[in-house]
Formats: sequence, structure tokens, C-alpha cells
Amino acid sequence: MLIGPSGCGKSTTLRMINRLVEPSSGTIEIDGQDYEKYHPVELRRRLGYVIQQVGLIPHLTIGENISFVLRLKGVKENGRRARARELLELVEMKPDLFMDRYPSELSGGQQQRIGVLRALAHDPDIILMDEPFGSLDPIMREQLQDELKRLQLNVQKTIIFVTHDMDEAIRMADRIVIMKEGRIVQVASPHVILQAPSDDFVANFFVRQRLAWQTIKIPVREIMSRSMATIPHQSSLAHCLEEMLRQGSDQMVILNEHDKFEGFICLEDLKGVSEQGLEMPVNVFPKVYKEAIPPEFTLLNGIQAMIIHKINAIPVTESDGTVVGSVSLSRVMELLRGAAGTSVVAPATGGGENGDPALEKEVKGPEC
Amino acid sequence: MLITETIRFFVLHHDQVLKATVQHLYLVAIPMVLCILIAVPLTILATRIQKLYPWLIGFSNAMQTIPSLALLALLIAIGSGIGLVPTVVALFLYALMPIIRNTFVGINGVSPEIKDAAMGMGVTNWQLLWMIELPLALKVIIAGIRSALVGTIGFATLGALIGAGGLGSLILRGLSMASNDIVLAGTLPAMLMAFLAEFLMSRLEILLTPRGLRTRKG
Repeated sequence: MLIGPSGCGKSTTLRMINRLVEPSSGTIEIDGQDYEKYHPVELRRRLGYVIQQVGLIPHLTIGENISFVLRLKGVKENGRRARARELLELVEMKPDLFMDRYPSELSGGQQQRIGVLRALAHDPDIILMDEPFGSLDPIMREQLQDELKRLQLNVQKTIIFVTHDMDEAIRMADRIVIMKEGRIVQVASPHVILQAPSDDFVANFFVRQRLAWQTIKIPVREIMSRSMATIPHQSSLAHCLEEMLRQGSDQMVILNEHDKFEGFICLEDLKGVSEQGLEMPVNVFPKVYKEAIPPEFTLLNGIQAMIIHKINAIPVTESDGTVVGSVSLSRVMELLRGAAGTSVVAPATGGGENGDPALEKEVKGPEC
Repeated sequence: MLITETIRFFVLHHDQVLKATVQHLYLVAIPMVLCILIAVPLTILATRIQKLYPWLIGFSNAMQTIPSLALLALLIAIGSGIGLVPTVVALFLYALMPIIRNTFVGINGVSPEIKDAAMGMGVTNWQLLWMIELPLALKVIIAGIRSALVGTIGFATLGALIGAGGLGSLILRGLSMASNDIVLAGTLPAMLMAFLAEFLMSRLEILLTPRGLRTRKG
């Protein structure tokens, strides 16, 4: 996956690979062989090529477009049609419906699907893609990205992909090559680039803009505050209020007789309570929230829970009810501000020692 | 009555009219065929070597700018003699411009991304021309030929002035004899021929437009 600001030479690099542009110096090797020993036309027929503007041939049908390289290679009509049908089925486009249509009758997304299929028709080992989804709307783009990932699982090709979209790079890439002014700045996996950008340029270009998005996918375990004001369930509301004010906390978690989570009370709700009312034990107070989230939940899950229950913070509990911390909206804001802000913020400022898992594994928390 | 007299002339002298018409067809066909055979390939060459184009279009433009009668006279003056040859040469020169312009515009107008994708798939230069550029440019090229053809049919009547025959000779004869029926006997077939050419070429244009391009109009 080649990525970089416009004009940095990503497309040129790609076009050098299929010799639409000749390198002014240096060599390019494919499978250890200098590619100059191939004739350019020969070489291109061994590669797949997809461009942003699709470039389907308007006077040929979809079927003919898909199998165009096969035609150049002299494959017979029957073989070409069979292959085109096979490929259409691969992306769940009905061959009977599409084979004999013309490109102008298709939507932009469908056209680009055909563009991708066309690059697969002759079963090349290497496919070059130059911002293939750049001109599609975001929904269509994501759909096609997923589709390409799925296709890739089936066909197992080397895909060299040019993009300027960081999300796309993270979603799709095994390895990202970051370019700037014609030079390669860093080559690494998405995780490494997010974790250890080689210089400020990479950090600025990539990580900062990426992190806000990345941040909300971090498990709350990584970013929760570990101090949580708690109180036994038999305490009075008055005691609870006193503790809240003393500790400067907006919330107080009530623990049951086994010191496990029972619920929590918000400072706000105590304001209207009368003198007498304050004498009642906390566990019979009518406004006790029962909500809590497990530490594996993502920050996004936490935010959703807070929004649904209209609360400013939510306790984090283990499955056995042990209270391990809490996440507040102000903490979320602070993190996002840091992510979008001046410097690279390690995602887990609370528990910096285990920042990795936050980025490396997709957390599977049930959706709120 | 002019009409009855004209009809009488047609009936009595149909062999003359027919002969003049056939001559006229030759006068049109020879320069047109030459023009297509020479100008189209030359212009295609100019799309590869773009430096050629200004020369080509400049020359053909200049030829088209010269008043037609003056062009004929000029050819005689520089010693081409009279009759068929200078007329064919003049008509040829006159027809160049629309054909060259449309061929160039048509081929150059094929969108670069289609060509880029095709190049990336490994077409040779010839394949690019035959499989991509010509089919896509055909409509525009035909339109150029059409306007050249209609112009040539009209201009060919002047060929009679320098003894090339054709329908123009009937017109000239009619004018000199002040007999309008003979003038009409020359002009009507010429007009008919022009209309017919226009109609047939526009049909051909539609017919040769690849289906994938036709549907786009909707």
C-alpha cells in the first residue's frame, strides 16, 4: 500500500512497475528478475491494472471488458465469456444480467467492480491499483474495500495499492509504504506505523489524523481511570454525599456485601433530597444506576452507553462485579483532543505499558 | 411552364442528364476517396507525432479559405491544364480540412483514462488504434467526411467551368442559352445528390456508432 500526499510519486511508482513510465535510473525486479527483460506489452499483460477513473472501454460489453486482456492474449471467445461469468459471480453480479450490458449503463460502484474484475481475468500474480476507490462515495468505497479484502482471501494476489486515504491504508494493507517528495519515508505494517512513526512527517501525516478514529476503538481497560470512589451499600445518603464532596467525585459506586458492584449514584440526583431523605441507606435510594461496562468494551461502546443513559461517566466492572475503574466523558474528550492535537498521544496514558493490544486486536464487545 | 419544360427536358435528354450525373459522381468520388485514403492516415500519424498537426491543419485551412473559383483558376495558372485533373485536385484540397480536423479531434478526444487503462492492460500501439481509438472516434470522423462530401458535391458543379463536365456543364449551358429548364436539369440532380449524401451519411454515422455509446444519450 503506497500512501503519501499528492504529488509525492505514488502513482508514478506504480506506473514504473508496468512501464507506463520508464525509471530514469535504477532497476525494478519482479521475483528477483530485472523486469527490463520483459517487453513492456508482455509485462503489462502479466500484471493487473486498476485506475481511479476505471477506464472501461465504452463500446465493449461488460463481458468483453472483463476479458479484454484474455482477448489480447488470444483466448477464444468461449473461454473469455466463461471467465467473465465466473468473475461476475465472484462479486455477486448476475452474469445473465450484466454480461451484455455496456459500461454506461452501470453505476460508478458497479463500474469499478468491473474494473477490478478486469484486472483479475488473466490471473496475474501482481495487481496494481491506483486509487481504485478514490472517486466513489464513502459508503460505496467501504463496501468495495470489504469486497476486495474478501476477494483477496480467495485469490491471494500481491496487490500494490496507491491511496492517499489513511483509513483505507489501515483497513487494507499488510504493509504500508509512506512516500514524500519521491522518497520512501517508512515501510512497515499499519500497527508499527501507528505505534512507531519513523519521523515527524509520518507522525503528522498518519498517526495524528488516524488516532481520533483509532482512539474510540481502544478497549476501555486501556484508558479508564483506575480510582473509583466506592461506598458500602449500608451507608446513608448523607455519608455518600459527604464522601463525594470530600473526594471531589460526581459519582459514587455502591458495593454490596461481597464488595462487588451494586450500582452507582450521581451527585446531581442528590441535590433535591431533603434532610430526612439523606438518612436513608444508599441502596434504597430510587435513583441508583445499575449500568456498568466490562473492561473489554471499546471506548465507543462506553460513549454509547453514557449517551443512552444520559450520564457523564460509567463504571467499569469485571464479569464477577469487581469494580476496576470508570470512564468519563471528560476523559474521552481529553483523549480525542490529544489524538487530534499537537503530538502523538500514546493511546493508553493510564496504563501505557500495554498500549499494544489496544491497537492490535479488534475488541469484540457486544454493541450497546 | 418551367416545370413542364424541365420535365420535358429530362424525358427527351435523359441520356445527357444521366451522363452528367455519372460524371458528377466521379468528380465527387475520386477526390473524396483520395482524401479519405490520404488525410485519415496522415492525421492519425499526426495524433502520434503531434508536431505534425499544426502543419496539416494549417495547410488544409488555407486551402479551404481560398475562394473555390480562385482555387480552380490558380491551378490552371500554375500549369495543371484543364479538365478532370485540376478539378479533382481542387476538390481534394477543399475536402481536406473537415476530414483532418474531425479525425484529429475524434482520436484525440478519446478520454485519456480509457487509453491509460488499455495501455496498462498491454495493448500494442496498433491495438490501441484499432480496438480503442478508431471505434470511439469513428462517429466524429464520419461527421467530418459528411460535411466534406456535401461541400464537394456543390463545389464539383464549378468543375464544368474548366471543362471537367458533370452537372455543372448543364447549368452553364442553360445559363448561356438563357433556358431555365436546362439550368434546373443540372441543379435539381445536384441538389438531390447533396441531400441524399447528407441523409445517407447521417444514417451511416448512427449505424457506425458502437452500441455502448448510443445508449449514453438517454
